[in-house]
Amino acid sequence: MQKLDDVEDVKKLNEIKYDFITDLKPVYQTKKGLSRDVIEEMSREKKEPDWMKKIRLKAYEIFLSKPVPTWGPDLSELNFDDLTYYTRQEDRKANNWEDVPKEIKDTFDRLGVPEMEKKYLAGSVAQLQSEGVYSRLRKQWEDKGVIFMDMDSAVQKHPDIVREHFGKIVPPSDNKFAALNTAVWSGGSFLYVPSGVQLDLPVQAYFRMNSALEGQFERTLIIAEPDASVHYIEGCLPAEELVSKGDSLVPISSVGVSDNVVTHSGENSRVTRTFERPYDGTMMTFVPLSKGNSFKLTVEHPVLAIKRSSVSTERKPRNGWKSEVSTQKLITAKPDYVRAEQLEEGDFIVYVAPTESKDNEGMTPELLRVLGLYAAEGSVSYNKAIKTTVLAFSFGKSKKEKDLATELYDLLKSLGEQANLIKTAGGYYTVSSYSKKLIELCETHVGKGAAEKKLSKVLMELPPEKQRILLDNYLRGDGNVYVKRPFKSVMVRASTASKMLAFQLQEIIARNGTFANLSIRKGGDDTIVGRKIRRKDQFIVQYTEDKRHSQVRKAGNNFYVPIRKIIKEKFKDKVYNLEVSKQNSYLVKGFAVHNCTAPTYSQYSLHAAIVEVYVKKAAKVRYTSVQNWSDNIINGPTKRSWVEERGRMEWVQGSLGSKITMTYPSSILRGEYASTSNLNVALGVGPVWKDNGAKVVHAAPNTTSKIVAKSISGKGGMAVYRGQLRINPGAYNSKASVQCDALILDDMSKSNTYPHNEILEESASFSHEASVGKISEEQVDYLMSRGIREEDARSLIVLGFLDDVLKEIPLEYSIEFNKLVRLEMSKYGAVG
Amino acid sequence: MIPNVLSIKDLSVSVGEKEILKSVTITVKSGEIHALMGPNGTGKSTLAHTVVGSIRYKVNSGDLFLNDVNLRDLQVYERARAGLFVAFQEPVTVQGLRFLNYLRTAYSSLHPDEKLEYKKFVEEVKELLAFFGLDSSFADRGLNEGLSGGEKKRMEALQMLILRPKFIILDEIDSGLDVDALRVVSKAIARAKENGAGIIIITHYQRILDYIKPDFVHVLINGRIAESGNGDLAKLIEERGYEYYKGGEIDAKIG
Ligand SMILES: Nc1ncnc2c1ncn2[C@@H]1O[C@H](COP(=O)(O)OP(=O)(O)OP(=O)(O)O)[C@@H](O)[C@H]1O
Ligand SMILES: [Mg+2]
Repeated sequence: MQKLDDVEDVKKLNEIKYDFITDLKPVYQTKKGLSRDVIEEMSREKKEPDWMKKIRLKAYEIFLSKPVPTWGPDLSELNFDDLTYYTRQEDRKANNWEDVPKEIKDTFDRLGVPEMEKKYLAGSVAQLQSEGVYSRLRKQWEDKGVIFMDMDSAVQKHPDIVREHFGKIVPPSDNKFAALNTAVWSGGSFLYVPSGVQLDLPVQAYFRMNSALEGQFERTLIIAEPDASVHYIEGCLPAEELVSKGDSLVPISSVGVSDNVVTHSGENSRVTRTFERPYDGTMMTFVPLSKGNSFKLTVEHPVLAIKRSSVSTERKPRNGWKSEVSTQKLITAKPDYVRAEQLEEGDFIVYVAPTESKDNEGMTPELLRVLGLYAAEGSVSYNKAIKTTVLAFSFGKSKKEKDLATELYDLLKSLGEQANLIKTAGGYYTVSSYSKKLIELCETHVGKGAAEKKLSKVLMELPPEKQRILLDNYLRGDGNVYVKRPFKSVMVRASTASKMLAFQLQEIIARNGTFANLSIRKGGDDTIVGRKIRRKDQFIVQYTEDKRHSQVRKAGNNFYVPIRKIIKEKFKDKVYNLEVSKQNSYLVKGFAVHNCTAPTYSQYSLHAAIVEVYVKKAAKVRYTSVQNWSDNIINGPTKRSWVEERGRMEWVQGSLGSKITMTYPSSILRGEYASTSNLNVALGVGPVWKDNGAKVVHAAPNTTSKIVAKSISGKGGMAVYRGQLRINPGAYNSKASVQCDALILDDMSKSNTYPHNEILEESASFSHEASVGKISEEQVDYLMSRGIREEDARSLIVLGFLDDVLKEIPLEYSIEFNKLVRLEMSKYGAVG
Repeated sequence: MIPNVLSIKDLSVSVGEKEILKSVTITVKSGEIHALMGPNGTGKSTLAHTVVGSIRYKVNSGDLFLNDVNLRDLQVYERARAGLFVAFQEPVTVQGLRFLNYLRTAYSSLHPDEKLEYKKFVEEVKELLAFFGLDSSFADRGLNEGLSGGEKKRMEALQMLILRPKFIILDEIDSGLDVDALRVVSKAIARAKENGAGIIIITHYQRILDYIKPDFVHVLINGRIAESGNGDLAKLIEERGYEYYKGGEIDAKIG
């Protein structure tokens, strides 16, 4: 047996003390080590019924009689007397962020986890702010008869159901860890889904459940009554939704890896992966105060927002609309991610003005004046008569317009360009030029054709002061600036046929400190003086310099914009999502949305959770977990399900980090036509041992199982697949397939497979495939020879290896997995 | 316009202990086509791999320049970014890495300043797949996964067109191609030439050279350039075989 301590790095890791408890004054904590007294004390402290205390004490006897497992990784360093078995729940999260080890903080930073989430994941704040949302959701479930609460409360409130199901699937006699858990369990989740109820457990609640579950000796019990189903939803955007790339907005479906997008802080960040999947469900349209910025999201997508209810005042609503808000409360409130579904009309979403800029010396104030006027009034056309391309600026008839035309004419002359000033037969003023240089400049930076105008990257990146020059000149033409009575407030209004230009102007105005409304005047057939014409859509950007009446509040480079309306509709098509390298967010039509999760971090050195899942007749449960523990953890949960007739159990498991992981989710197929699938991905890079696998027992005829296990080992890591498959005599026509693939990243690392297959029924069919592969230097060279960096090349190879399973797991998890794979692979980055 | 120049000068290379290339000199300018011929095992692929920059190929002496950029200072991916492309004799397989995904990553790595419009890009790839007589489903397959020999070669040629390199080395791109495929691949090479690329075609056969006439032909014998000449040399080689070079080397006529 390989001793992990042989690996140099483990020693270093062992020196890191993740012991937060020393600085804390826990309200209640049992003394170290385990005894009958400790267990009785604990049970008393929890005010448990007598039956639960008896279960605990009996399990303790069994624990004492069972040996520590000797197969698999070396567990000899585990000292059961050195653990604290019970700390009262409330105290556990109250750790100091300052005390979190630097390397964990660094990992969060490298992953770009937002501040609040970091603290949550590190256990230094009790709850995410979205907790309120979560409890509202729970109310909805309760109405359907769903019970979802922590396990301790369930023992108190639903003793009958708990007593009937607890410890039946995983009895304490199962193994030493199971006995230990049963004796000292604390926390975890209880989920009861009544007959016929379909529960879409949202991914956030799911994460919550998982993080609760993955406590030290947590206990989870899931009961899906006949015909019930449990699964969760993910968050994505429809294909045409526009995402900010800094200089322009593009459909999300067109965003590619390495593209830059703007994040919620206004900075640019690189897209590291893109996602696409079919979606059949509710699509939400958010119409903000600025209607032109309406955008669509799936119900689960987290949006950066401030709930109106959290910032409202007692004052009467104005305009007979939503309750009045306190400006003071609003500008000091911290926006947080809220699931799209939980947003209501009147809540505030966050428009972000990009902050990054890059000056360009060549863009002189003079040139910007010209380009501003061109964007508003200019056009380029080919004059057949003189066979030349002509640049023309069309002005009106007024004195002001004449002055403007003259000014432009002088300006072009002073720039040394050819120019003509013409008064047309109708009395309009026009400035034209044949200068090739000027034409090219206008076309490159502003484009041509009224509906296609679009400012170049160079212009969109200029510092706001310089963009202001462009904007001011754009607005100089007639009909753009009004003085409104009675307040004499100045209203600025720009109208364009180019959608892109409208968004860009809005962004430039925002970068200069003001939020402008964007609206669309629909085009269509119209009649003017008896003549039929076809109008194009007009995009109108407008703002008032007087902010007294604005419903939008500014905070730094953010603008809090109320939601005017929310529309829900059925949607069936592809949806998209992005993985962004820092900050985990991007802007949709200027508004910030989020989608990512990060590794969990635990202060305990041993985790031995138990999960029992009852899948009753024709019920369906999918249980997904991605564990990513810090490297000092020994994690050995026991997860098992009983699947009755026609029931289906799906296990999806991803395991990263942690020193030793031993987990083998099991399904016992007890009823005819029951089925199960088990997807298992383990990534063991560094001095870690991943001992993962699956267990299936076919105990009834016509049952089906499928196991897919993928492991990756690198930097001295060990990845083991340990499977047990048994088809009992009499389980006629059952089918089972096992596929396990291993990828080894370097010569220091190892992989092993231990399949135990017992096929005791002749009419059953069974297949087993296994493969072990290595990343070859030729593969890396090949990808690098096409311009791809070494670490990216390795990530691509690893992700390719995982492709068929990543498709199966929920998007959030697969994004997280992706990120972590990249992070792990960055350890391979070539130096020099 | 000043042409780009790829200059391989007095290059000596060993693999492991064994010296394979001995003082090889070839200068390629943009728009030129060079053919590199020679018996099995004389070091043609070694030259390709050395230019790519694989660390397994050790340069003992000599220079490798793209214009005034010393390629020897650059890592493999940086050389590619400088404008180099090699179609390998035996392209590798990467299971599960979808071709389109890979190609897009490569493209944006090679052309970081360019905005890649994904939809257009996909269309372009599909058009090219059709051009090469390959089914559009190849875009979603794992890189070279389950492809036949000839299909792999066509996929290499496709990448050559999409990635728009300045210099191209095609290591036996013609081997394993059927007649029709040979014709399209030749067309692709002609197109790359029109786009201004300088190209070295490593080949054993006159066949491909009938489609694309090389400006220069070099014969590599035992790691040395035994003879260089114009396009007609290829025919001569076919007639007289490599036996001709046994015993002594002919002075290079063109450098
Ligand atoms: N990695 C390696 N390890 C050991 N020897 C090698 C290696 N690579 C190449 N060689 C040797 O170097 C010599 C030149 O090989 P290379 O592949 O360059 O030949 P080639 O001219 O391309 O031949 P062919 O026409 O058969 O493709 C051969 O003798 C080969 O065995
Ligand atoms: Mg070769």
